[in-house]
Amino acid sequence: MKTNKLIIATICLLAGNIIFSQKLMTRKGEVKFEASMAAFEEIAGTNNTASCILDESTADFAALVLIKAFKFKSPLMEEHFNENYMESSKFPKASFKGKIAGFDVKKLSVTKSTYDLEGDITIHGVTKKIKTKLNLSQNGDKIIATSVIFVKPQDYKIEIPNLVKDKIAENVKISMSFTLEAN
Amino acid sequence: MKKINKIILIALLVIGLLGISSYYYVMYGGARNLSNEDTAFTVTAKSISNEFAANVEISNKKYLEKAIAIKGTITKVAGNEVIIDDYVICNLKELDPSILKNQVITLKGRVVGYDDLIGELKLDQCFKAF
Repeated sequence: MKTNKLIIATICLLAGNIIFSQKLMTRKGEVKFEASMAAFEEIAGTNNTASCILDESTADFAALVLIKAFKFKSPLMEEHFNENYMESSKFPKASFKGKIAGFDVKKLSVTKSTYDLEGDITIHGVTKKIKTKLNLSQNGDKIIATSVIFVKPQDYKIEIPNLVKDKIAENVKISMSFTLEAN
Repeated sequence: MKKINKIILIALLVIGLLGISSYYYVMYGGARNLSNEDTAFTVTAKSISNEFAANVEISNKKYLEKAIAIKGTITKVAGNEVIIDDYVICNLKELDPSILKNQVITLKGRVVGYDDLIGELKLDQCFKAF
């Protein structure tokens, strides 16, 4: 009888563990980058295959994009982005790893709430600490995470030739949207 | 007088057409078409996964940007996304309803890179290779 109770207790504990250490993920996240200047041609690319993992129990948040998967309106712009600026053969990915401050799954709702997100971002082989805002909302069993950050290319050793300096924004806008679900 | 006008008109037209076509070339030209390209490597999903697991950097140098043919069993199909042997994520160039789960298939595509967050290899512009 005692052993039975023990077994049941163990099973409950284990099951609880599995539920609580649940990781939500996506490999279809959207990351947009926009470096257009008014009056010049649009410089923007979209990546629809970004991956993102959120660990509900530890509030760890990680995302990764492959640079070569960014799509542009013009193939020539895509080529320049890859070869001249991001050097995607040398640095094929950009990533983020961090923690969401004050995260609690139970507090999520259909309406957006904003959290502080802190961590390390790596672009073009250069890693920097960043602090930003992350919007979270819940839709059924999915969690939707969105954020917008601004980065300066020179902070990540991305050189922009003088000739085109006026045409590329000093602060590049990166918007992200991930629909996370249990795998 | 009339002849000169005609010449000027034709010259303007030619310059205009040249301008328009070069604009289109710059804006939309030069896209890759893998179906005209030779396959650089023919591998199985398992063998390439072993290579990337052993050394990402060397494998990146070898495979990134290359057109490769990859063979394996389809473990998931979701719209444009086809997963081979749970490890290689192929994004199809066009939807292909003849590609189904559990098929043994060879897909040709461009190596986009290794996703070390999930531990998967990603390909795009994929299509069925025969």
